[in-house]
Amino acid sequence: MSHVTFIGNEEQRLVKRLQKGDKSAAREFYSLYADSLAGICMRYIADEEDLKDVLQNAFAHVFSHIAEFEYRGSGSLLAWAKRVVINESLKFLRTKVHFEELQQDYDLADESEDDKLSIGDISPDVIRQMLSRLPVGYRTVLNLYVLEGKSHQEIARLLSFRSDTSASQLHKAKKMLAKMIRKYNDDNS
Amino acid sequence: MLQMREKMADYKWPAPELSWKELDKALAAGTTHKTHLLWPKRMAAAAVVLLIAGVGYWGLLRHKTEPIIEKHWAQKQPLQNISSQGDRNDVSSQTSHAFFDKRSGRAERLSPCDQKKTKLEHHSTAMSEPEVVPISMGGNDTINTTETIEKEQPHILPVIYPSDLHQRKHLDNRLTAKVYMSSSMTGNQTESYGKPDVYIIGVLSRYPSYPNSNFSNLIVTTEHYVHHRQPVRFGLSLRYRLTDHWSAESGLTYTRLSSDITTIINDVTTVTEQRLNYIGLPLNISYELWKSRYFGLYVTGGGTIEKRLDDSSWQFSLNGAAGAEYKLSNYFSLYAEPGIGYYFKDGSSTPTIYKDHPLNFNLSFGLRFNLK
Repeated sequence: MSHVTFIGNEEQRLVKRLQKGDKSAAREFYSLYADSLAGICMRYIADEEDLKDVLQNAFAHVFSHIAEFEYRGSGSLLAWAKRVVINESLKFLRTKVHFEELQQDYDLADESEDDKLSIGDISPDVIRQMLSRLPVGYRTVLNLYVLEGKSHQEIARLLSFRSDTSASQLHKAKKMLAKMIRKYNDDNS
Repeated sequence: MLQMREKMADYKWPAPELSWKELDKALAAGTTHKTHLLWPKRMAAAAVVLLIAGVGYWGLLRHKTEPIIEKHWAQKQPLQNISSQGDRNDVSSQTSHAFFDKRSGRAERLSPCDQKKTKLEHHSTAMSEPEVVPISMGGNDTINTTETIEKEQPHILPVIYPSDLHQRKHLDNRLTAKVYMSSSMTGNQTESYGKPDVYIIGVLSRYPSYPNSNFSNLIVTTEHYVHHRQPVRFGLSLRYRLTDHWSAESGLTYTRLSSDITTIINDVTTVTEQRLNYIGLPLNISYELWKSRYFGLYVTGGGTIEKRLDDSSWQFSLNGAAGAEYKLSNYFSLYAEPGIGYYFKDGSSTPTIYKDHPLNFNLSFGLRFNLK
């Protein structure tokens, strides 16, 4: 995976152009960042139609609030846009349709969670597919805790959970994921 | 799990094609706060606020320089020279209204100072020519202490000055300065609504003056003038944002009214200062009409109940104002609120500016400190 890199203060110039309402800058922003942002969004939103809606809202939010963005060094624009995408994804998941699903709990077989499972040979795309097979609540908590580094308190606040619900869902998500990884490793060994 | 975070950090997914029509609209909306337009907008907004404050202040000063008593006397109570000792005796124990009406047939229009001077001169003649003591009656006078000016008054017996201070004619208007500090706490239910504010404001207001017709005195040539000084109001208020547009505000105020009462008895001039202190409880509701990033317009209205500290009387008032606010930074806002107030009778016998001039226009302005 290649990183988006800027030479000099190109990113800052892009911000200024966006703040001036330059449409070509908006297209440039899309071509530079849309895949990365879609990759973030895909971890939360499994359905591709939903993903499109969420990304549309996220880009609209970025463009309509670009005047409030303060450039703070290289990579700050993408970092901000990623936060917007995650917020829009959570907003979508918090809607009434998905809220109950978000909190749903499942009974799992008594399998040990194994942090020592190797995923070195597993491609990011396969991991993304595994994540998409997790129940939405588990997937969301795992994303926020493992990939975004949020605490259970933060996750509980973001999803209107109790913090022990977040911990419980994370525990079960890890179990489910471990089972998938074991199976994948067994199948490909 | 750390391994997973690293593996997924740069994960990409082919982005779907988005609706550029909507995104271009969003981009256009986002540029309404374009950086290069901020300063001109800031300057324009600040100019509006300063203009409102300036016009109001100018209006107050303009009125302040007018000799209101002259107008009033010219209309209702033309004054003339007292022609004889007999006249003076005749009006003993009559009201001032009667006193002046009796002489209306020979009325002359005179300025307050002229009137007084004329009257004093007349009495000088009648009272063995004591020296006239001119005093300034202009609205800007500030006489801080009680003093008696007497010069050559051989025929004057000791005078008992009326303690009832409402036997007066008002010379001046009032300019009120009000300073507030206020803070509010965030509500539990919706964190975005609560916005504690600490702010400082000032109030300037002006009241036209009228003579009080209930004038009675045992001394024939007694005159009373009142020069109202600039009352000052301080307060601490708590503002609570109820919704995006509505907010409620309450707190405590301290108001001090100060007036110089000038009593002229023959050729003796006495200036006494009257001080009234009030503790008040305001309750206002504000509605935000429009708001941009740096500028806001709102209307506010409510009432205040004030308790006089040296008396048992209560003063009720209603106030309405339109406000313009300009955000200087995240913490400070400059604002101006032109408004109108109405003061109800407090039921006491003590005259106040509130009682004499219940309806008034005022201008509040100041600095507001916002805590997030």
